[in-house]
Formats: sequence, C-alpha cells, structure tokens
Amino acid sequence: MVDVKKLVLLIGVGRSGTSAFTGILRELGFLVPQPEVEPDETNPRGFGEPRWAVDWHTRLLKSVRVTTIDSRPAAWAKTLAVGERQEVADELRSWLEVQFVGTERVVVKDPRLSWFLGLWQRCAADLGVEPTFVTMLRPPTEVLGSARQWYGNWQNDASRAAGWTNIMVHTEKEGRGSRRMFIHYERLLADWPGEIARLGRLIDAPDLLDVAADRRDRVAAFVDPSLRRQTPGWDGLDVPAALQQVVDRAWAALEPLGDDEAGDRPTDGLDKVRADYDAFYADTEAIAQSSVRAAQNARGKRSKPAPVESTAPAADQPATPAPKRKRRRRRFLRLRS
Amino acid sequence: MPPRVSVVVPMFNVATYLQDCLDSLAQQSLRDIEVVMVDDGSTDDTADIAVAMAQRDSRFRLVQQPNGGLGNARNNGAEVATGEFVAFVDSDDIVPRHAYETLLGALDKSGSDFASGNVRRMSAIGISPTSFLANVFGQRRLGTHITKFPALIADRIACNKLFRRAFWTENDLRFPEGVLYEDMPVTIPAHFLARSVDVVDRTTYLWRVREGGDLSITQQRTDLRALRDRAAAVDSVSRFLATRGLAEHKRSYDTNVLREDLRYFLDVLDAADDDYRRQFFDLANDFLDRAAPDVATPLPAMQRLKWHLARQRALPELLTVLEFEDRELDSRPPVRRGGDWYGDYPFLDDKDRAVPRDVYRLDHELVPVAAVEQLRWNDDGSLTVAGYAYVDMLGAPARKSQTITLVVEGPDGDLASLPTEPMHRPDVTAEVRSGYASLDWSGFTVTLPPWRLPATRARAGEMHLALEIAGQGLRRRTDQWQWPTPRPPKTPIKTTAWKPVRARVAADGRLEVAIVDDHASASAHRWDGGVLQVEGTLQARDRSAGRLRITRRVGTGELDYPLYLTPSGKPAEFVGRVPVADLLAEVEVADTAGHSEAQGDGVVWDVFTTTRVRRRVAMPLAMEERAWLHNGREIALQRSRFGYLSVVDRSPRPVIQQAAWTSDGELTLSGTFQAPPGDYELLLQRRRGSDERLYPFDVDGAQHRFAATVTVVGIDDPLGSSSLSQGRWEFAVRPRTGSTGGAEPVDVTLDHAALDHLPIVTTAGARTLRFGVLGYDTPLLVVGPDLRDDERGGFHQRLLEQRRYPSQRRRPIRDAVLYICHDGTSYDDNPRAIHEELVRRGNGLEHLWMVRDGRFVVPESATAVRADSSDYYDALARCRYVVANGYVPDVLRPRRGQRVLQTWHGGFVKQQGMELAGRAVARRAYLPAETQRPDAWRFLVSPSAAMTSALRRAFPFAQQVLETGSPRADLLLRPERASLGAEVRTRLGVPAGKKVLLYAPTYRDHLRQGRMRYRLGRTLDADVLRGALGEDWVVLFRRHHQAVGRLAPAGDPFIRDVSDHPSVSDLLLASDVLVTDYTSLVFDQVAMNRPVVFFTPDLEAYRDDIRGFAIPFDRVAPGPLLATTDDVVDAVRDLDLVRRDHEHAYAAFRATYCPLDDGNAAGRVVDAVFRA
Repeated sequence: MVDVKKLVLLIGVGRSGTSAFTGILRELGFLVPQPEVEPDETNPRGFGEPRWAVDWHTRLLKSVRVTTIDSRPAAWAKTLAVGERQEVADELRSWLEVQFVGTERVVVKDPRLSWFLGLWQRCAADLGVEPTFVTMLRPPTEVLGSARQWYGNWQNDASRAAGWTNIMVHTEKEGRGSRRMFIHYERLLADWPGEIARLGRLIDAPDLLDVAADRRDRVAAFVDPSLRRQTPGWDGLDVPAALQQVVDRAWAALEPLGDDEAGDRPTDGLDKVRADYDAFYADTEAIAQSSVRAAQNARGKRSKPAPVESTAPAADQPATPAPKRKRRRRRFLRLRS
Repeated sequence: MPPRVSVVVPMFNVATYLQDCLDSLAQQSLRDIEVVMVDDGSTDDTADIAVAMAQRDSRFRLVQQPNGGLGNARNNGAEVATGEFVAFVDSDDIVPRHAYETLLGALDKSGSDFASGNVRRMSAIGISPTSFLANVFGQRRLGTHITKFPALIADRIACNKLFRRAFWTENDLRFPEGVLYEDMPVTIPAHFLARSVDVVDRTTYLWRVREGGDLSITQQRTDLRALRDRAAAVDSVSRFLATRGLAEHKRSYDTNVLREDLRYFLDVLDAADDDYRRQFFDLANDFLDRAAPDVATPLPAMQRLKWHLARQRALPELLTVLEFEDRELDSRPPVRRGGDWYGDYPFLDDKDRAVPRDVYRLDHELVPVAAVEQLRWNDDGSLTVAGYAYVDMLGAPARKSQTITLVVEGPDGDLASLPTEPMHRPDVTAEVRSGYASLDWSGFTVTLPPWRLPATRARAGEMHLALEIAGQGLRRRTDQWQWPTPRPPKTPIKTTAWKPVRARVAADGRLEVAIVDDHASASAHRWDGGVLQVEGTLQARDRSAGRLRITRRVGTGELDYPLYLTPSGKPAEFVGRVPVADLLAEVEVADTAGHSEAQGDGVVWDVFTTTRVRRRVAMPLAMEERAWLHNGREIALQRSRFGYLSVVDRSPRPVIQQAAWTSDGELTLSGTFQAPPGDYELLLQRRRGSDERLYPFDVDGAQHRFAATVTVVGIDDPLGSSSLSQGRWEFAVRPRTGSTGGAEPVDVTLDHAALDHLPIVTTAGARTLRFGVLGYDTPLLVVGPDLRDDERGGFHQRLLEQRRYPSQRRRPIRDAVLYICHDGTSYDDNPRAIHEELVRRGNGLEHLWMVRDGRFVVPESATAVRADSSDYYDALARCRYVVANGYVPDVLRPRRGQRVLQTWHGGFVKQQGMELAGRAVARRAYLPAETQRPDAWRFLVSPSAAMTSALRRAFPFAQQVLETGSPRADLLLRPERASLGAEVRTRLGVPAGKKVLLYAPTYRDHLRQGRMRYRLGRTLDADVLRGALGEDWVVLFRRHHQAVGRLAPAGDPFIRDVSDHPSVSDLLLASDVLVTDYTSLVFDQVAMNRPVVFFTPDLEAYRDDIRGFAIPFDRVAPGPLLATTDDVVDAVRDLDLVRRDHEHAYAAFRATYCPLDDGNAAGRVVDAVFRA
C-alpha cells in the first residue's frame, strides 16, 4: 500500500547543503513547518528550519548537556534516554500531527534532529507515517571550512571535525533499516532533478520523477550552483593529523552511500570507522583528563552545577505550584496608560 | 430506519412557486429527511411538479386527496409522516438550507418538544425582517417556555417550527379544518403544552409575500370570513387557556388579542360596510364578555379608548378616533391633570360621552428612550458614555426638563450611579419623527471613573449600564439602548492593566461592560497554500487532547483539527492548522440560495480551542486582519465585533480603508480589492426601495487597490434624478459586463481598522450627508432630507404647521403660483403645461416649484422651493395660486383671495377617492386624504365629460370643474414633438435605429411597502423581453412614483430604469409604443395617436378586489389586454396588427376620453383661473 503521507527528515551536519535541499522540497510542495528560523547573513535564502523544532531540540539537548556538534560518543546514550520519555514523545507527536493538517508532505530540517532519530521514527509511526531520512554528503573539509567561516571559532576545528565524525557515523548506524537516502551536495547542485527523482522513487512520489515545468522553473531559480563556495583540503584547518585520518576514513566510507539508490549498501567499513573513532575519542579523553578536571573545578567555584532541565515536571513534583493566598485587594478595570 | 425529520408540504394550485419550495427542501444540509407532499386537489400543474420531484429524489413522496383545505392537508400529511420530528411548510415558501440542521441541532442539545426559528418575508424587492416576531427571535434561547418568556405569544406561525413527533401525537395536535387562520389554534396551545421550547434566532423560514393578484388572508381584513375565522381562532386559544386553569396566561393572551389580532379588524372599521361593523361589534363584545374586566388595562391609552368605544358600540365616536389616530396622534402633545399625564385624544373631558378619564391616562406610552452615540475608554481607565435620552411624548424642551443618571447595574443590585451632564442637542429634535415635544436638551455625557467598574463584577453578562430619567413628574429607568444609524465607532475594546475589556450594546439591547474572555488568544496567523495556521496562547491546566474547532456561525457545521499545545509554560502556546478547502466544501453543502437573507455572500466561521473547556479564540487589537484569495474565493481572517477571531469565506470584495468628503460634497473612497480581472462599477442601492445608482469604480489589479467617487448632489444623469434621494444607501460592486446589465454585485465592507474614524459628516445645501457604518462593518451613506435642522423632524414640522404657517397666513398675499407636482418629485404633468403657458403669456406672476430632495432642477422660469421647508410653508400661506396635480397638503387652508387649482393627473382608469369606500384595500390613510381635501380646491380640471363624471363620483367637489381637456397632453401635441422626442432619445443614449418601448406599470394597493409605497405585482419578464426584443428595441422602464420594484439592474443597456426621470412626458415623446396596465398614460398615448399594449395578468383581481375601475376599462381598452410577456412581445412586433385589431376601440376611446386634447388645454385653464 502506498503511504499517502510523506515525512522527510533531513539529518547530518549543518553546512552540508541541507538548506538547499529543504528549499527545493518546499518549491516542490512539501510543507516546511512554520514559523521558520529567520534567514541571516550565514544563510540568506533561509535555513528551512522550523523554529519550533530548533527550540525544542535545543531544549532537549541542553537538558542532557549535549551540543549540536558534540563529539562525544557517549552523548548518544543521553539523547536516547531523553527520547524515551513519554511526555517528550507526546509533545512531538502532537506537533507533528498538526503539521500534517492540510498537507500530505512535510519536510523537517534541523541539524539537532540527528540526535533523536528513534524518537522521530516512533512518533511518525504513531501517526501512520514512515519517515524518510535524508543525509546530505559534503566533504568534511568543506563543511568545516564553511562552519569556521560562518560560525566563528567558539568551537575549534578539531572539535568540529570530531563532532562531524561522531554525528555522521552514528546517524548512519541509527538510520539503518529505515527508509533513507544519501545525497551528494555537489550532485544536488549539478543535477537536482536527478537527485529529486531518486527521492521520488524512494518514497513513491511519481510527481517527483518528472517535475512539472512551472515547479521546475521555480526550483531552478532557487538552486544556485555558486552556493558551493568552499574548496576542499585540510590546509587552513587546525586539525591534528591523527584526527584528519579518522575523518578521511569516515568520509571515504560514507561517500559511496551517495551512489546508492536506497542507502542500503553494506556498511562494514563504517562500523570499523565508528569503532575506531569511539576508541580514539576515549583515548584522547583519557589523555585530556587533567584539562577536564581543571575545567570542572573552575566552574564549580563560580556556581553550582545547573540542574538538569526537564520539559515536564518530575514525578515527585506537583504539576502546578501551590496556590498563593488570595489577595483581597479589589481590582478595577484600569487601563494601561 | 425512519428519517429524523418529516416535512409536510400541503399543496393547492401553487405551480408557480412549488419548484422553488421543493428545491429548498431537497437542498437542506440535513440530508436525513422525508418530504410528504400532500396535493390538496390542485387543478394546475402542481401534481406534475410533485411527481417529477418524487421521481428525482426518493426522499419525496406524494399523497393526493380531494380538496379539503390547508388544515386538512397538513393533518393528513402528519398522519403518514414517519420521522422522529415533523415540520410543516407552505408550498409557496422557501426553507433556508441550514434550517432543519439548525433546529434539529438545538433540539438534540436541549431535548425540548419543539424548536421555533426566525422568519423573514420574501417579496419581489427582497427579503425583510418580520417585525411582529422581532421580540421573539432577538436571541437564541434553548429550553425556554412561554411561561418564562411571554413574548412567545406572538410566535403563532406553524411553518417555522420543528416538532418532536411524539409530542405532536401524544397531545393529539391537529390543525382546524375548513377555516382561515389554522396555525394559531395549534401553535399557542403547543407552546403551553410543551415542557420546553427552543427559540432559534437564525432565519429558518422565508415567507413569501405573493405578488400576484390574489389577496392573501392577511390582506383581506374587511372580509367577513376573515373576521369570523380570526375571532374563532383567538377564541379557541382563549378557551384552551381557560380550561387548563391558566388564568394569568389567559388574561395576558386576551390582552394580546386586543392589541394585535382584533385590533387589525377594528382599525379598518371606517372602510368597512355596515354588515362588517355589526359583526365586528358582536364578535368583539362576545370576546370581551369572557375576558377579565381589566383586560385592556395594559394597552396604550389610544387602544384603550378604541376598545372602550367598541364596548359601547359607539361607532361614530370610534370613527372620529380612528381619523384622529391617523392624522393627529403623532403631533398632539399629552396634557397634565393633577400630576398625571393624559392623552389629548377625542372626548377627553367630554361630559356628554363620559369616557372615564383613566382610559386616557398615559403610562406605557411614556417610554424612556436612551441612545448611545459614544463609548470611549480613556487612558486613565475611565469610560465616557455620551448620547441622548428622554421620555417619549414628553421630550426634553429645556435644560431643567429632566435629569439623567447613569446607573451601573451589577448582578446583585446597583453598583454605582452618577449624574450626567446635560447637553444641548437640537439635532436630536430634528432626527425624530414624532412631533410631541422638543428634544433639544436630551443630550447627556458622563465619564465613569475606573473605581466605579469593579473587575470582580465584570464577567460577561454581569455588569450593565442603565439610565434613569427624572423630570416632569416622572421617573423612568431603562437598560435598553439604541445605536443611531449610521452607528458611532465600533464597540470599543481596550486593554486594561491585565485584561482586555469591552463595552458594547449586547443582543438583548443592554449596554454591557465586561472583561473579554481571552483565555484563548491568537497571536499570529500564516497562510500556506490554502492552509490557515493560527498560533496563540491558551490558559489551560489540562493540555491533553487539545483540539482546534471551527464552527460555522449559521447552522451547526463544525470542523475539528488537532491542536498542538506546549506542555509547559504559562500560558500554553498553541498551533493549529485549518485547510481552507474543508471550509469551502462545507459551504457547497451549506448554502448558496438562501444566503442573502442572513449572512450576505459570506459564510462566517468562529474559532475555538477545546481541552476540557471550550474557549473562543480572542483576536487582540494588535493582530492584523488579512484576506487571501483561494480558488476564486476570498478567505478573510478577521476580528468579530466583540473581539474574537473569525474566518470568513466570501467572494472577493472591496474593503474600504479611506473615506473622505471633498469640499464639493463628493465622497471619495479607496481601499483594497483582490478583484478578478475585469472592469467594475460601484452600485449604490437605497435600502427598502428600488433606487439604484452606478458610479465609476477604478481598480488597480496589480496593487489590489480601488478608488471611487460618489457624487450625491448635482448628478448629471439623463436617466434619473439629479441627486441621491433621502434615505440610506448601501454599497456594492459588480463587474461591468456591458450587454446584460451587469453580473451579481458583491458587498463592499469597511476595514475594521477604519471604523474608529466613522461616521464622517458633511453638508450639501441644507442636507446632511453622513457616511458611516451599519451593523459591524457595512458601509452606509445616509442622505438627509433637503431641510435645515430647524425644519427637520416631527416637532419642527409641527411648529412650522402650527405657528409659522398661521403667522405667514396673516401677511399679505403674494402674486405667485406654487406648483406641487407628484409631491415634489417631478417637473411635469398638468402643472408644467400650465406653468409654461403662464410664462408664455408673461403675466408677471412669480413661479415657485416644490422640489423634494433636490430630485430635479427647475427651469429658469421658476424658483425651487424645498418641500416641507419654512419657505414652503410661507409659499403655502401666501401664494395667490396653488396648482397641484393630486396631493394637496393637509395644512393648507385657502385664505381669502387664494385659489387652489386641482389639475389631477390626466384621466384615470382605477377608482379614486370615495369610490374606494368598502374596498378591501381602502385605508384610512388613503381615503380621507383624497376625499376631504376637495374642500380646499377652487377649481378642478377635467380632461373630458366622461372623466368629469368619474371625478364627481370620486371627489365631493361642489365647485367649478374646468372641462378643458388635459393640459399635460399639450406637451405631447406640440408641433415640434418629433424633434423633441429625438432630442430626448439622444439624451437618454438610445442608439440610432433602435425602437423604444416605454413600459410603465402602476402599483398594487394590496402590496404595501411602507408609508404610501407599494410593490408592482407581476411585471413583464425581463429575460423574455431581452431574448425577443434585445436586438431592435430599448425598453424604458418607468414605475409609478408610489411604486417600488425593479425590472432590471441599474446600468442595463437594454432595460433602462427611467423611474426617476423628472418628466414622463419626455419619455412618452421618445417612445414608439407604450406598454402599461392601469395608468393614466393610456390617455396621453391615445391623445398622441400612438399604440398602447396592456399587460394585465391580474385584470379580474384588480377590477374586483384590488382597486376597481373608474371607467369600464376591460370593455373600452384601446389596445390588447394581455396576460403573458410572450403575448406582449408578439403585439409589439406587429403594431400594425394591433392598430388594425383595435381600430374601433381606439377611436371610441379617443372620442370618449380625449375629445378636447387639441394642444390648447392649458390655455383654457389659464383663461379660466388666472384671468383675474
């Protein structure tokens, strides 16, 4: 039976062409949930990211102290635990249900979404929708270069490179068994109808196989091949050679997936890369223990650790604060002057 | 499984209307119905239509029976009905699409025994409210009862109800058979027998006012059978109440019978014959014998007096009172005796008649009237209320006449009272029609400080403002408020320190101050390819299972969508999405035919959130209203008048954002219009009339903007009058299509943000022109009469009549002629012919022409005198000659040396004056006006010997009849008439080579449409005319000046409405053939020796019942008397044949009725009257 409702979830790391792909889908009739994150100079054509999804994911990540490009393999267990909370799933399901009112195609893009693939998959299934995960593939050095240019250096290149590896190899693993596809950003810019047709075949959307002329024109006006402004290579990036090797191996393992129609090519090489990365990170974390301890001590002096944020009251807390004593003062219909 | 609703439709010879009725049932949004059509022995095509309907739609079935009458047919239909509910529909009426859905929705909710819905009347000129039901259906009331809501006593129609069939059968309800007035003996008992009743304020029934020749039951009030059956009907109800031991209700009902039912029959006693009068006294006294002695006490004094005299069978006195009521009641101030107020009515203090003084005591009449013109929240939280108030009949002539106190009413008593500041408001006196007293000091203003408005009492419906008026020996209090029209700025909603508050006049007429429920409040809206997304906040503890609910304001349509609510945070944020296609699909099911009666072209949806509690979503003032185009429709998201979010699906329409008066008295309008491509024109339509006026309407399609300019006075229009007539004008826009005269107009609305700036007012000469709001956002132009403030209104008119006129009458007479032609609406007819003859002779007289509403420009040879102005009263008092062609004002009492020349207006076909006595349509207001004024006439012009005898029969005129011929025919017989006709054609824009048909029907007396206005009855079919004559002819449509009704929309190039053209003589000159019915134009056309064709489908009814003929018209008509448009078309196409076939009749008519029309009649009149 053909699924009527189509949910495309764009995952992977920011600056890899996800905005362009979301924009194309929007022109092809997919709903980008509103309101969106406002365009800025880093992405003047718009991010295509629902404001709600960004805020909600951010809140969840904060609650377990995970950042968007977190390099820690251990972070996955934390976000998995958050996603298993019932009230979290209820909220996502409620939001997602509203998005499908009046439309059958929805695309959600948020780099943070990668941390909650299982949660999204379950909630979509509850609504009778099988999601499709789309991962944009762009050489990591381009991604890192773009991130450095637009996001600044609050996170160093090495950390970003590690984060890229962590997210890409782990989301690949999380997405196995699901309907998914990988798309080369470069190919998208060069031949978007071909890549869209690939998606059309995957999600059984015949209208995407041969896009109608009026929509084709609108997409063509939107896609700008000059968007790919970065030149590849490690020069100019401050990443240790050992890490460069890990990243290169990960990219080498991921890249062929973009040639694959359904993203189900054997992934033995990626399993090895992921295991190696996890070990490499454990080693470096062990090496850096003194730095970590020093940072913890410094923060402890300044303030108490912040409590873990929650999106709902804990079980032992009352749902609503105790009623305040009634104030007896009479109130009048006084206008705000 | 039985259907939910059975609809019983009794049918008897209703082929003309039946299909519309059955279609309206077939298209009900409630699908689960059966329709039992009971053919009551029809002899026309009724049964065929019903059979075809039953074949098309299996829900319809036909029962046929020999003729047994309406009640019998209904009863038989009810017996075979199988539905859970049963309704009755008369087969010439229409049921709006949501009617049964709405009524059933109420019953399902309440469990009541029946539901009753609002009714509107439907006539040829549109749909109007049913005034006697206004108090019943003011608001929705579920589960009420006549004992709780006594106004239901007026709810006597059977067809607006949906009965639970178990209730119907358990109480053995049956309509009486073989009588008129079948409804009341069932509906009133049903109201008492029911455990509870639902009152639905929405229109659920359209009651057709027939335009044909038949007089309906209610139009036959001097008919004996009607009298007897009505008396029997009210008697049966009264007895029912007595046998049930409902004494109090019986008393109340009996009072209502005197106030309504029997009063209608009493009020026509002056037009009735002796038999009717005798029967009336018998039946009325029989009824009063069984009524409580004080049954008349709650009635107004005038009615008490009439019933007192009826009880005494004092016919002459009663006739005196009836005449007084008609002519003087509104201008006779009350008198004070020993502290109490009494009506200064006939026989007060008359010792011979010995009518008890208590009969005259005024109480219910001294109604406090309160109008709010300004409601303003001030920055300090205070509320300013301004308007005017007075006690009816007493007025407020001086600063100290009254004191007005504003009272804040709370749920448990008064919360505060504040004295108000009196304001001098002579304009209020000018606005009010009754002439009892001056209202110059009725104005008030008061500012309520915030500490007088406790928030704890400000939940909806709890805190109201009332007025207490004290003075002139009385203290009256009212919480019922009026809004003047056009209304003042929209209902204000302001944000307080923590809540929005509103002050509004609610549906129940009370002025409520309340906190707006903003538990749910929208904050943003988005439009995404046909889906409307609404975001906002909701104060709710339980946030599970949130839904967004969209409810159609008419009917019970409801759409339901998921609603996202943030689980934490206070308040919760929500997001909901509404696919507009769902709304449009509902509209297709909902309504297209019945829409105009209630909601215009738009369908309004209200927006709610539901969790455990349902909350209407408020729309803050800061949130912008928007409209989007979707599949040719306009979807508008807007704020309701009380501050809530609503979605409106409507045709794309102009929204006025800016309005201003220019210094020339022109109204400029601009705004937005998401118009489909094309040219448009602005259409102004006069409310409750048939006047229309077109203006250019410039649309900038790219910018979605429009601009228009409305000229009110000094209009250069060859077809009509030179200014908009007095009244209320509404705005619409329609595509200009050229050939067919325009497509359906769409309404124009006002931008809600612009409402605060309205009304805007200017003056043009003596007129006040106001552009403002009707209802919530309907633009309205109110054109005032061509009178100054000190001339307008009943009180000022009374002063002019009673003071100025007598004082002027004592001044020297002027050598002047005052012409009164068709009540000041034209420069034409006999007065014009006489005027032009006088001017030609140049005898030095001054010429004054009465002009109403600036309708036309008088020629330079005369001076315009504004009708009813002080100059007009001066002229009436001092002009040596008054020349009138019909109406002569009551006030005129000719003085020594003053001569009134009654020219009448040509020959006449229909009976006039005294000959109408005893006819069903004769009215007190009509009869005396024409029978009594002859005492003021000095000369009466007659066109012929035959008409002289008709005039003598019609008018008790003892003085000189000038049998001169018809002066107005002179205008048509001038040597240069051919060139004059061509000139008129050119002015009217008739294309060269086209022939001109002048169609001039008269009104039908039984189709009354307001004071001295009547509808036309059946007219020629415009489509048939267009199809047959469209190529070669142009039709000029000229209705009688007392008639309302249109044949085609304004701007139609084929059928041109020339009803406002100042001269019918010009139109006759320009035409090739006249099609008319019973008008005097036939005499003119024959005088011109031109052909006449008569369209008289109601000939017998008109002759025998409606009006009657003054001449043996059906025998002597100088042309064919035809009953269908097709026949008229055939005759017009072969006028030679018409001439040949009616050659003898034509010649005989001419010899009998136009023997003196030689073009010199005016000269003979002038010789006779002005020689001295």
